[in-house]
Amino acid sequence: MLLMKDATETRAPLPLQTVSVAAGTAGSILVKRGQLLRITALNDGAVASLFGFSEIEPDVHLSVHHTRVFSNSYVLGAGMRMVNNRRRPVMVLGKDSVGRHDLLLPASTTSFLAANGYAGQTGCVEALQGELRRLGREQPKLPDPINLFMHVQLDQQGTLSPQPNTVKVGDSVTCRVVLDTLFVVSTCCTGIAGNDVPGAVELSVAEDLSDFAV
Amino acid sequence: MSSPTTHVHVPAGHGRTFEVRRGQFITVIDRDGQQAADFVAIVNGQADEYLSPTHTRRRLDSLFFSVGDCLYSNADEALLHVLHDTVGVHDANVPACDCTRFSVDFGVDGHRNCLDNMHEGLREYGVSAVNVPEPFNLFQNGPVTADCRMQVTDPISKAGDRIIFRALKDLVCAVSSCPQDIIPGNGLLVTPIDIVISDDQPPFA
Repeated sequence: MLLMKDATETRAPLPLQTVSVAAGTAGSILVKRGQLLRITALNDGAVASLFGFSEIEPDVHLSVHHTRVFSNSYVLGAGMRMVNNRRRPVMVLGKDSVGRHDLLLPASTTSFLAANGYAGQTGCVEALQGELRRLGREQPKLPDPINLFMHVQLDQQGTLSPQPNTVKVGDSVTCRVVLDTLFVVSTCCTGIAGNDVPGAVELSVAEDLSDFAV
Repeated sequence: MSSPTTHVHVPAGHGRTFEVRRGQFITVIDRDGQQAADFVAIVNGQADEYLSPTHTRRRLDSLFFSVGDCLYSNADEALLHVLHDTVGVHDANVPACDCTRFSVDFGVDGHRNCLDNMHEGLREYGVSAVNVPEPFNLFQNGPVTADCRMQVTDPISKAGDRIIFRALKDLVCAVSSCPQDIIPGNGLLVTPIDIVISDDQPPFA
């Protein structure tokens, strides 16, 4: 919950929610302003490709591109605001046991995977589309993802070098969300070397850190 | 005898949209120097396939492109081949400035912006504002600092500098002479961009 001066701006607390996202699929969770979103790896090496959509404005989505420029940073760091395509904060990276995430690479598609040695695997884009269909949601734009837990090294010449990610079971990020947002996470193969073995993740939402321990 | 060429003049701080056919050459000229040109493209008749800096990064393993590289679509198809470049410094990582860039970041409402400049023409092709693709920011200078931050700085391009592409599919392109006149990016002086579209390869050394 946010510590508001005016009690009328405080809504009733909501119970802890958890959603498990099996490896190679997509899952979603609705998060209200003031709640904490935690994304936890359930398998070593998991990558969580994160998409976010405004609950009420179809043209507004979490934007990895505006997130970079908002903080003038090619990499995601603790305390950084993740913003939407209107340059408004959606959430802030508050706790992070990994410290390496990608803000530069696209979501895989099934056809990209088939053409690059991952035949038969579902792409992140198709998994996202499937989850939106399941929810009965039509989005005019499928944005590029924030690839949580993906490790891609960047040097000053701009060279991108994918590295094996070091994510372990139980690693997590926790973000304070400040705009009502539907988050969709894909755990599909990314097609990025070293980050291409799908692993399960858990999405959880709570009002406060202590709620996660229950 | 050479084939006719088409000239598109993009006034300072404004945008223009134009079609090119597969095989044609596109020359983008920084007329006066130090001027960023936001550049987007969609496949003509298939607006859901568009030029994508994000997908190009994955193909090139780099934030930046060089002569000889192709620029790719969201379907991983090559759309442009980079033939010639007198500058060698361009940005492919910063979203187009839009009304919120000026209203949120600088407290200025109603400022001209690249997103609106490019959408003005693209809307005729059924592209909504939210679906204007992410741009390649030609001549824009976005170096990487030692701690992986973006440096906000002016272009190194000089008057007459140019980049030449060959179109690999039929495209609708939109170009904005970036109207950013508050922070470094265009040398605090917004100037025009000129574009030449030709069937014949333009001469270059």
